[in-house]
Order: sequence, then structure tokens, then C-alpha cells
Amino acid sequence: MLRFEQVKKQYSSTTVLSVDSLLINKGLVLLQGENGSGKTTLLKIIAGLLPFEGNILFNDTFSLKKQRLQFIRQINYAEAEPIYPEFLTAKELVKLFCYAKKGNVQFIENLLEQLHIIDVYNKPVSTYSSGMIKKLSLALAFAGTPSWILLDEPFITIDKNSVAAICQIINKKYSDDGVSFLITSHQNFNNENLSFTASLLVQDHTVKFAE
Amino acid sequence: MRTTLIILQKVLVNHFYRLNAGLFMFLFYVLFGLPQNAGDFHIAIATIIVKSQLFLLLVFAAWLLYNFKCIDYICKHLKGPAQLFLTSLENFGFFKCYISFAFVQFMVYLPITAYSIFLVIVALKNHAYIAAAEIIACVAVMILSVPLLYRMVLQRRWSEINIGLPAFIRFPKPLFLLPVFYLLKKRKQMLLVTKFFSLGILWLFIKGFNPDHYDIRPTLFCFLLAAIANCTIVFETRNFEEEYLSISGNFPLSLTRRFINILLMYAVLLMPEMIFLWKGYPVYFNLFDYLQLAFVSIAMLCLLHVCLLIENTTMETFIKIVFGVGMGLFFIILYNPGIALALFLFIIAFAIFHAYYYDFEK
Repeated sequence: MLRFEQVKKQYSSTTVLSVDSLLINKGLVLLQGENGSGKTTLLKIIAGLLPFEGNILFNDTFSLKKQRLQFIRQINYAEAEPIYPEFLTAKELVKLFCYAKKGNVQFIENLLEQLHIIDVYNKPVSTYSSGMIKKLSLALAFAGTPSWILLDEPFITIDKNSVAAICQIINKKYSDDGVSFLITSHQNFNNENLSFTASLLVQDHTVKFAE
Repeated sequence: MRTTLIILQKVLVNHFYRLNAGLFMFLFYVLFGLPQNAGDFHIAIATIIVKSQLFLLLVFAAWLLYNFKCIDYICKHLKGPAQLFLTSLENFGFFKCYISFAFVQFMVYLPITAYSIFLVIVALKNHAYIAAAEIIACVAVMILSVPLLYRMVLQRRWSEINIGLPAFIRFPKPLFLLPVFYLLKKRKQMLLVTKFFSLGILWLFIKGFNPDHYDIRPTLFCFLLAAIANCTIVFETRNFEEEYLSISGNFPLSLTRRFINILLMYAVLLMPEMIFLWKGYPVYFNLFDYLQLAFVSIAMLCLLHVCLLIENTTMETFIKIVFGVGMGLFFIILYNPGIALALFLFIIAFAIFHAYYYDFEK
């Protein structure tokens, strides 16, 4: 589980996100909100990519502020609009992520195969379309043995078949390995392939459980 | 036509000089600030150049490198989405379009043109008429041929200078080396020009300075000057990290490990200077002092790198920091601090890194 304690994010003097207290239990969690509501900011904070005030605890054991390494090991993140160095191939990125996250290269290669981008595995990402880069970033989010995978708008820019394939991968990872997911969407999410255990709403610069 | 030229001046030329202000300031300092009598020094250098075909060729090579830098910048900028409106220049027809880009090329090439006029005057005074003609021809070719390339870029028929290793040669790419690969792939002209100048400083020092007794301080200062010439590389590296490697913040790496990555990266980037310096062994340094030279220069670049983690460090502020660090080190070196200087710089750099890394946000 993830426990938020007095989490606050400000830009200059403007508060963009303020969560006094929140407990997100493990499961398949949907995070909804309008454009600019702060969903990406929240995910980036949990992934350790943005500075913030307050604290976030993993299983009441590891604090993002005090035991950062242990905390980050439990969290993987896929950006909504991923950017990678253009000269790197998918193979090099997979190796890099698997080395950093102590993951299995073969496993990620299998995911890329399921997402139909394995044939460009040895080509630089500069030759990829935005959808292919998105699929690659989603596969990379599965590197290693995280407890939570944060997926920021995972279903934008990718084709219908790939959406089904990703849902299948998410379900399998959740049921087989007990990995929890926090998935954002700015639209009303209606996907029969995923059965969310909880739904959160980012509204008025705070996060609450949707009714 | 005048309006077009004003727009091109604002969009392409002014931005080029703003972007390279650091390099020009550094060059100005090296060329006019360091020599005691700059006027006589430059006339002497120019006389040597116009009287020797070999030196003249070297100068042409340097001008060509600068031209590559200009071409690289203009082409990249022309391809940017914000400059898409410039495709309307095509409607002017070939001649007007060519003249417009010739103006751009003339303006970005102006520093070389100005120096070439100086060289031509010196050549004529020394009756080196062939050298004068060669200089004029060289500059004319560089200014008049390149607008054709820019026009091709505008028409999307040509993209950029591409000098690279064949695709089948692949090196492993660990995280710490990614900025180096980025520079090699995407900023090769800048890298080439920077290394040309930093190695040039070392070459001039080794050729021109003959010590009557062993003293590491002049060598250390000169080597640091060569390392400081890499400051634009430091800036580019930080930008690259921020733009393309931000996701690495989610990698479970300790701060110490991340800092070591920066050290390793600058050790690799300074490899050409470190290898070239061996030309001066054993007159200018002994083995122990070589370690001092290497560590101090790496530590200094690390310090400059981490200064960019401090909030709102623009290129302008960064140049001030570079000058401040350079001046500070000059006075410290006078007291011959030995290897303690490297340790001191590493500690300061790590302290800044530790304080700002997780709090940095663009």
C-alpha cells in the first residue's frame, strides 16, 4: 500500500496538488481527472521524479524521503509521452532498464513481441512512430520486480489490438505476481478487459476516492 | 526583402550568437586577454600563417570546423517546427531565396570573415599575394556555397551533416556514457570545435613554454584552461540529461552512484586532452602530478556540472560561474595545493549534488 502524509506540490506559490492523508491499497487502481488536474504530477511524485513537501510511505516501511532507494525499487513508471535518446535502439533501452532494475531481458522481449514491435528491436527509436515509443515505454515499465507499476495514460496513441494486449499483460502481472497498478486516464474509462479494484479522482488540487 | 532579412536575422542569426556567447567570450579571452601585447602577438601569428602553406591549411581547417558548426546550427534550427513558416521563402524564387540565406551565412560567419580581412592585409603587407588570394577564395567558397545547402534543408531535400560510425559497429551504452554518445551523434561539430580549441591550448603551451625548472603549476593552469574550454559540453550534457534521461530518476541508484557516473563521464570526455598531454612528459609533469592534473580537471567539470542543478542557472549565469571557478582556481594553484585541490573540488561538487539533485526541477 501507499500512504500519503501531508503531500503538497507547489509551483512558485501556486499549489497544484495537496493530499493531507490518503491510503491506496494494493490492487488495480484507476486514477481519473481532467487535463491539468495533477494526475501526472502525482505519478511523478510517487516515482521519485519530482520534489514535493510531505512524505509517502510504501507498506508503512519505506519512506520516499528517508529510504528513497528501497522505495524506488518498488515503483516503476511509464510516462504519458515518453522521450528517449534518439540514437538508442529498443534493445539498448531494454538492456539499460533491465540492468538498472535488475530485470529479465527475455521477459521484456516477450512483451515487445506481444505488442508487435519486436521486428524493430535493433533499430534506433528515432525511426519509431509515437505509438511504437509508447508501447516500448509500457514494456519497459515491467522491468524488474516492482510492487507498483504506474502507467500514465497507457492507452493513448496505441492501436486497439495493442490496448487489448496491454490489458492482458496487466491482468496477468496482477494475478500471477501480485503487482499493483495505478493507471491514469483523462477520459471516462470504459474497458471491459480491466477490473479496477478502486478508483481515485484528482479534482480541486487534491486526490480522493471516487464514489 | 529588407523585412525578410530582419526576420532571418532575428530568428537565425541572433539566436546563434546568444547560444554561442560562451564560446565567443572564451575565445576573446584566450586571444586578447591572455597575450601581454595582443596586437603584436596577433600580427606575429598572422605573419607566420600567411608565410607558411601548412599553417594556412590548418587555419582553413579551423574555419571549416566553424563552418560545420554554423551549418549544423542553421540546419537544425530550420527543421524546427517553429521555423516552418520560413518555407514561404521558397515562393521568392531561387535568386532571392539564395540571397536571403547568403545573408544568414555571412552574418554567422562574420567572426571568420573579419579575421580573414586582417589576414589578407597582413599577407599583402608581406607580399604574400598567393596566400591573400587563397584566403579570399576560401572565405568566398564557404560563404557562397552553403546557402545552397540551407535551401535544400528548407525544401526538406537534405537534413544535416552526418559523420558517424557504420551501423554494424555498436558499443555498449551504459547510463553514464549516454551523454557522450549524444554529443558524438548529435553535437559532433560542437564537440569537434571544442576539442580543437582545448587541444590547441595544450599544443600552444607545450610548443611555446620552455620551463627552466620543474614546476607543475603552469601545466596545471594550462590543463585547467583546456578543461574549461569544455564548458559548453557541460551545458549540453546537463540539457541532455534533463530532456532525455529524466526517467533515470526512477532507477534505484544511490546519489553516490549517480555522482560516480558523472565522474566517469567527464573522465571519458577529457580522454583526448589526457592522452594529448603525454606529449609534455617528462618535462612538464611527472607521473604523480599527472594524476593531479587528471583529477583536478575532472573534479572541476563535475563542479560546473552540479552548479547547473542549482535553480535558474541560465547559460549567462553559467558563464559567470565558469569564469568565477576559473579565476578562483588560478589563485589557488599559485599556492601549489597538490592533490588536495582535487579532493576539495570533489567534496564541494558532491555536497552541491547531494543538496540539489532531488530538488532540481526545470
